[in-house]
Amino acid sequence: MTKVTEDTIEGLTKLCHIACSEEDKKRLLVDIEQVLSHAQNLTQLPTDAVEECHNVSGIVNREREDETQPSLPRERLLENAPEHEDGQLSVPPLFRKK
Amino acid sequence: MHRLKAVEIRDQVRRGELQAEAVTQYFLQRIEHYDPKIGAFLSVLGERALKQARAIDEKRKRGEPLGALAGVPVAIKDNMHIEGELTTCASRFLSNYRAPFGSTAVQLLEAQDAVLIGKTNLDEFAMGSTTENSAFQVTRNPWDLNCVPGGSSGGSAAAVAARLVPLATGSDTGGSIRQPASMCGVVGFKPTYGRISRFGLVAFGSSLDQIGPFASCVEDAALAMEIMGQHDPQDSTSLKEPADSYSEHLDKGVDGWTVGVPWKFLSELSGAPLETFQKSLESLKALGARIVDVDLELLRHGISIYYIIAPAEAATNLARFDGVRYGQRASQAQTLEEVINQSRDEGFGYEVKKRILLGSFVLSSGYQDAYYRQAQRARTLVIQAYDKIFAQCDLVAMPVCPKAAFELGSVKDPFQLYLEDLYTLSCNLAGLPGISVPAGFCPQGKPIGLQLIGPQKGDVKVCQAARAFEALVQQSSVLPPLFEKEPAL
Repeated sequence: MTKVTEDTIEGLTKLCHIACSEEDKKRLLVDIEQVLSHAQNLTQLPTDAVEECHNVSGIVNREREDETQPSLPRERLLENAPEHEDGQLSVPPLFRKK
Repeated sequence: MHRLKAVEIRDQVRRGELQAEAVTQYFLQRIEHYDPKIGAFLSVLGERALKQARAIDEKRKRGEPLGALAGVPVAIKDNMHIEGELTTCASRFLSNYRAPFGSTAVQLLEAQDAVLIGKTNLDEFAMGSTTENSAFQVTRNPWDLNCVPGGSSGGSAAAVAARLVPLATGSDTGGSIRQPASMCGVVGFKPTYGRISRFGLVAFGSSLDQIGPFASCVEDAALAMEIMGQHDPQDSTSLKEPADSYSEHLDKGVDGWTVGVPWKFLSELSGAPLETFQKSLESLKALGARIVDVDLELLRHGISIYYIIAPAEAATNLARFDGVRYGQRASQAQTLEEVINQSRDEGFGYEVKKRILLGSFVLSSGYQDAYYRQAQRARTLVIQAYDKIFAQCDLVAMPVCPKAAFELGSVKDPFQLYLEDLYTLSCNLAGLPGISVPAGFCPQGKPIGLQLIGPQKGDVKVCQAARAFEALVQQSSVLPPLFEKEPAL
């Protein structure tokens, strides 16, 4: 059985880009292990002869003509932006200032 | 007026016996009076709704034909876009987000002159089975205010149950329409995967999500399906077939049909849910259906399959929420990385964070084959099991959930809540249509629904059977005692 450790949770918070609190991490360790433990029973299923389900309705990739269509206006999209300047999204710098 | 079906309101508005504005005012007053008791609505679109209603009245005066939902107030689950209005998904992250475009399903309702009256509460990002995961408020069950309404579409189910609206929309990824419909004593329908466009629905599990209606009766739910169930080129998973015609089949009954019941899978069912289910099967027999035993033991693995695939898809879908382009941004962040990491921590509730981490784990290198790909192989087995059953049966009947509505805050173990989805989530795994129709009450007076499941694209069959059942058992028209009266004006 996969053992979920504190390092697992720490790694996942980085992978998922969520700065979880220590309290949340403790709960997550217990809860995620509980789900994975329950999921161990899937290994008992006779799945050798079946394909993974990629699509429940059997639709194949749909294509359309490569024609330019109107997009949403920039101003409307920026209405939801936390910060913007001169028609561009504004974010802090990549690196912390010394 | 709150006892009228949507089709009755529509007919009276079309004939000029009711003004759309008066209908909207009536339901807005009902919401103002009663919603403080149950907390179904996150936002009420009073001015917008009245403006829409007046426009419908003007249209009638000009002699123009009115749509199939003329003047009918409809509530929309707050994970579906109405252009220009808030779509919060009951999350702190989106508390200030206004939809820059409308969802196709909602636009189709509006095109038929429905009046959009408000946005309803849900579990955050549709993740949950009780609506307790909402970041903003609790929604209470109109049949027992101490109890949950079910989830994640608890707000919509409660709003229809209390007749604050005749119709509402929900979304169903693992049971989130059918389960609250059962717990609130209303009709809730999840269509075949792809039947209703997901454009404008905030995605949770993209291979599982479907929008569907809540209504006080099957006829209204079927009408909503006829309107919303259209092909949409903006959703690449949208079925190409034209919308089904429900009205011509709705009253044909189930005489001679074969209904499969997976008794071995249901062996732990007990108490009032079991008794109600057994009585429901007797009703189906009285209607001329033949009940046969079918094998769905595989569904015992349904929780594991679902709670690997759904979080995996959720982790992917919620990666877009980063505090950069929209949503709440962490105020203390001093670098771009901090914006993303802190905004996601502050914006998401615990259940959402858990599912994102779990989903990322099962997709990660070294674990993907053992968990995610194995779950997808197991999903194929579920589809094959149902295919085999539908080769001999018209429908499958099951309970909706193992128990009636329970007390708010009473379930402490999060995994126990996952087990509530046991009977509903296989429909989503296999893309099947499923309905919950009111079947009876437990001794404490809380509703219990019957679930009918059909083969893919068998949406009309499911509604046809539900309609026959509803007409016989007469449980759909019962109102919760607290909400029977018109509010004093």
